[in-house]
Amino acid sequence: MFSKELTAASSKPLILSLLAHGDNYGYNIIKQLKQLSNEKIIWSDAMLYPVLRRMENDKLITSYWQIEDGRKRKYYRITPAGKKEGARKTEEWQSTYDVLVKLRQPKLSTQ
Amino acid sequence: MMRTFDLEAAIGDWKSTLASKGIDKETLLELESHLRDFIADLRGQNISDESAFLRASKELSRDLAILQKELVDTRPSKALESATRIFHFNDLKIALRSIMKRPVTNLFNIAGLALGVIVFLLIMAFISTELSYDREFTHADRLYRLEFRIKNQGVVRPYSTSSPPIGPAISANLPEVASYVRLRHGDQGDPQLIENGDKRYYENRIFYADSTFFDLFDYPVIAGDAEQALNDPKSIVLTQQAALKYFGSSNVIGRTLLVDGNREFKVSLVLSDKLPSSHLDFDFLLPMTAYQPPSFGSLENWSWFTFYNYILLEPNANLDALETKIPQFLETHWREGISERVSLAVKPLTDIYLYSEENADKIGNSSSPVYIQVLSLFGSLLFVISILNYLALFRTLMRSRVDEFLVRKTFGANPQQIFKRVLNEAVMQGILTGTLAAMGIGFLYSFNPALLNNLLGSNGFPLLLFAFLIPVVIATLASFIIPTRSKSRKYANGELANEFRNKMIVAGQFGFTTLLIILSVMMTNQLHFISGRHLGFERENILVVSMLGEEAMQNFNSFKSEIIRTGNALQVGSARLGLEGRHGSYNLIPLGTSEEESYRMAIYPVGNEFLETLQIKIISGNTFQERPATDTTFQYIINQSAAKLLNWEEPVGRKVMLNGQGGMYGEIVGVVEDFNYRDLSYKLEPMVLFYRASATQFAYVRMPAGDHRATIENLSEIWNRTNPASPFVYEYLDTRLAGNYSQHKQVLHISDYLMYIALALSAIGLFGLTTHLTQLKSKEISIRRVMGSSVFAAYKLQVKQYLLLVTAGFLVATPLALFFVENWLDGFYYRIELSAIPVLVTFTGLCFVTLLVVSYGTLTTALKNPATVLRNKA
Repeated sequence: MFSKELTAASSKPLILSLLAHGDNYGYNIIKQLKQLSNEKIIWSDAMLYPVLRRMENDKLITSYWQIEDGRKRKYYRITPAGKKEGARKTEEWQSTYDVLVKLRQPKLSTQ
Repeated sequence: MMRTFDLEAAIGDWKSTLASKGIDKETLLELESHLRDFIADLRGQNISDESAFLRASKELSRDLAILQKELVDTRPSKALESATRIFHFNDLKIALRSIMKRPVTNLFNIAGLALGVIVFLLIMAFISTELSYDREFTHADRLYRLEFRIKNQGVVRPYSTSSPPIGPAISANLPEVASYVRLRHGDQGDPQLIENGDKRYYENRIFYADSTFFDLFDYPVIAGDAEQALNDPKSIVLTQQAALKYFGSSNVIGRTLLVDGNREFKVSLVLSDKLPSSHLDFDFLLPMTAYQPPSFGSLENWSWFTFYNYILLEPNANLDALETKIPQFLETHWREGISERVSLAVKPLTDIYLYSEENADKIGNSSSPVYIQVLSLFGSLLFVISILNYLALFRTLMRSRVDEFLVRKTFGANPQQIFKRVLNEAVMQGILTGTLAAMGIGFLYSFNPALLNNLLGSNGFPLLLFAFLIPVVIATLASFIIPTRSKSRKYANGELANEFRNKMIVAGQFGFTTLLIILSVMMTNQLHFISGRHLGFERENILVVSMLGEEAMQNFNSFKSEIIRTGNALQVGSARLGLEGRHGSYNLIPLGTSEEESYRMAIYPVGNEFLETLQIKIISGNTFQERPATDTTFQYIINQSAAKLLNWEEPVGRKVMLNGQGGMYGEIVGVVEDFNYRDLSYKLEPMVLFYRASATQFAYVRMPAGDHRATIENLSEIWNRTNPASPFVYEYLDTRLAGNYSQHKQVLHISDYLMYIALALSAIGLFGLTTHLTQLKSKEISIRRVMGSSVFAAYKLQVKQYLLLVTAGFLVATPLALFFVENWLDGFYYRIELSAIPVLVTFTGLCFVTLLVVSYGTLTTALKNPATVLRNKA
């Protein structure tokens, strides 16, 4: 399981990236991320919804209700602004990752 | 019995638990959906409903606190968010709890401010009512009253009346004047008998008025045509109140009333009960065409000035132009040379109520700007003091909590949070104070609606609103003024004490208090003084019986002898007038001097035993004596003022002529002490009392002290025997006089209360302030003690400082107060002299209260173990 700080920092880009693949609802978001990460990313159920709410307030995602199997589910959809933000975040994470990879090489070259 | 798990019921319970934590409906639905998905997945792994529910709900509720905080807090917009933070119910509850922790100090604080607000609002309401008189008439700004100013013995005397031909003449001859109306009380101003069958009353709220009355004064009408109402000489106008009194209904157009026992009048108009507040005060209007002048007067008589002349100016008429034309007008229409002696003032209608002239028949309501001056001054001072007190006490309270704030800070509170607490408590205090003030006004209202209706007019509601809002605003502002946001840090650091500023505040408050006390004591003294503590005659246990009508007057002697014979009264006297302030005036000409010399005198025709019954003191000479009917010489008794004016060595025995040359020849037989035949805000006039056996319009019956019910019953029985034709109408003399002073009395009561409230507020204020400052000093005192100072030395030092401050405030405020009072007293003819006593008493009182409070504050600290005090001080 990831540390608390990492979970907090990564939740937004992960959700945005997941929603980029299609609309999704809260329970399924947690479940899919768990599977994709080989059970490394396990979010507390209580943590997700405030994050979603904040992202919705920031107009990164929108929500709508849909009836499935006789039950109402709240789906989230990424907005254009969300896509932009997601791309930016992914870029940041990618850069961080690149640096980490470079740093793993025994000989450090800075040019 | 097998226990079965009901999943739906469990989910329902779970939902209501979450809902009770403040999570909104939509989030709840989403969480429920999550829960159900979770349970469905777990079921797929062969887990029972019950276990699945427990696991899923536990998962979801694990961080419920986070969930709740985030979900509740992230929703509202920024502005709303901060608002809900300030006015969150819980915060107010906490604030209330903290207020309740110091019940006494907070009660002082809340009650003091509420009192100040109540007093201030009531006074404002009173003043606005006073200023509203006569302003409701449509033409109020174009209406004026013509008043004589008559020069006599070099002195110009103002009257509120003028002569009857003036109105018609000025309206016909001067283009500025559009219309006029004359008003006059009936028969010499005596009450007139009005009857409808067995409903028979004496009325004195009657005016004869020209038919133009309603062109000038647009009174609201409920029945009849105002235009035509006074055209017919046999018509009468009633107020609704009078209509109900005589007919039991207000639908009475065409019904008749009998006036003076022999004249019938038909009701032509009924006025609404919601009459505009006006100096004019009447129940009946009769047409001027029905007016029967007495033998010595006529409507063409220019020198008979017992009429009220009102004029309506043309729109845009030039008042100055009108005034410059008046002397010529009088010369042309009255007689040449008259303008040297008589001038005509044009007084705006809206000034009449507050600035009525002294030499007036009482036309109705009048007041005096003095009341407004006194009350507005008191009211504003009290208000300012109550606010200062509030601020001082608020400081004290907050200051006493520095330790608490420090502890909070240690535990991680930031200055904003501390400020928020202060603000919350201030708002809570404001709400409590406002509620108390509004309740106070509401209580006064329910307690005495009549008084307050008089005070409030129809403004009751906004008054309550103001009563609530003003304290809330003041309290809220207090939290910003005292510990401002930036200062809350200082607060928390315990560095509030700014020696110099504190001293200035104390001295300032002492000064204000001094000012208020001296002003209120002296003004109240003056009002008491002029309200006639000393009337110059006995007024207790005296009944005034109206003997109006020929028959009753003639029966006076049999009525009197019956009363005396049956032992129901000690003495019975009579007079032409009823001591309600009304009197006529004549010129007095001393015989044996030049003809030019004449003196204007108030006249009072009296019958037998008048002076004796009222116990008016005779200074020299004798009282009236019974003389043979053949002796036609009048007997005159003058008052001290008249003796002073005439300036004779020995007035008794001098022969004089009253009512001009060829008038009433007589001899002065005595001099009496001045007695208050009217309100002492006016100068008592030189007066001549003259004896007339037939002056029996009013009987004065002096009864033994005690319960008079049986006596009055006996009197009524005797009356019915001796005067079967007329109603028995009586009034206590002091009630009758109270009528003269009712306005005075009301203001007197108010100012008395205000004085006490001022004293109470001052004491509260001093208490709060000195407590505050001794608290600040507790550390210093303790250190001095540690360094070896004695309790007494520490105490002396504190007391000395405070007494210096009291003196400083006192020295600045006293001359200011005296200067103001002296100016104010100058407006009175009869006035108290400035004396040092109230000033010294104020000073001593202030010193005493200060000593008391400082002693308490200092000694409680000084007597404590200094180590204990210092341990608790940062």
